[in-house]
Amino acid sequence: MEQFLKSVERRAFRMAEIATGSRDDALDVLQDAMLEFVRAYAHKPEEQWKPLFYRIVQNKIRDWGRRSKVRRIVMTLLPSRRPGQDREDADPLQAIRDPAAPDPYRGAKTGEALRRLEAVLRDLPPRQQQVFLLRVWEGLSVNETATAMGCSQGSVKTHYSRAMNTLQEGLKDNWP
Amino acid sequence: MNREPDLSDHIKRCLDESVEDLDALTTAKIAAARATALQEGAPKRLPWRWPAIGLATAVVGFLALMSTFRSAPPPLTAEQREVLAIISSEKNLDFFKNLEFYAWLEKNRDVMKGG
Repeated sequence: MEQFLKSVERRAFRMAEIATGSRDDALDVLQDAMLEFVRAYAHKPEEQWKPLFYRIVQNKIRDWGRRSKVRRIVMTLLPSRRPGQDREDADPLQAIRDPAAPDPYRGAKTGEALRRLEAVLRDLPPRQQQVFLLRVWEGLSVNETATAMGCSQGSVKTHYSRAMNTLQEGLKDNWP
Repeated sequence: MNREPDLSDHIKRCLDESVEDLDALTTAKIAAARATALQEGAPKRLPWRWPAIGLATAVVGFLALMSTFRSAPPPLTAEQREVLAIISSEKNLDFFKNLEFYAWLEKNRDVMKGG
């Protein structure tokens, strides 16, 4: 179990970070997902672990999205907040970079490419983003991705195709 | 036509590099999260519990067995039966009221015989 978690935890963390836009929130998502996975699925056959683990990760990301939406609604209702001050899909606090934080990117060129990639990935609808990362990055099959996402294989293919088109369009001018 | 696979490869490599370049603090936090999950998520095993329950069961069973096969108490003597009859008889409750007198009588039996 420990070896399995070691093999997936960093990519799962980065997926959560791309989805949430926050390193702290991504850590919370990962912690909750690993805890729930160990509790609920440790007894399952190992070949089922990866899609089941990512299913929990996706559920946690979805829970985070719901909580964030509620938080944004409450924030907009406060009298000190001006209507329309925040975008619906962006938390301004999360957009502020910590100047003291170490730069996680290797070189300027790679860093710029990654920032551009993350920006396009974040603009994808959540389901497209998740399907794309699970298929391309984690290497899950269509069937495993469908299990992880809790949807049909047809939906996986549709989400993947649309995500790929958007990425091609969004990255064509800036991709190295 | 080959644009799509190339793009996927580039994206994968770019994301892989971002994972490799995670800073030490974040890596440590991820490791701590894993350790916590393994510690708290694993089913609680109490190695002392089952032996303790087994031992307690064995002791109770042994005592029950001993009480079943324990030899019957020795038969009462005639005097003991008489005393038991007196004590258990409702008609002789006066015996308890005069217990002090009977104790005095027993103590002075020899004196009274001599007198």
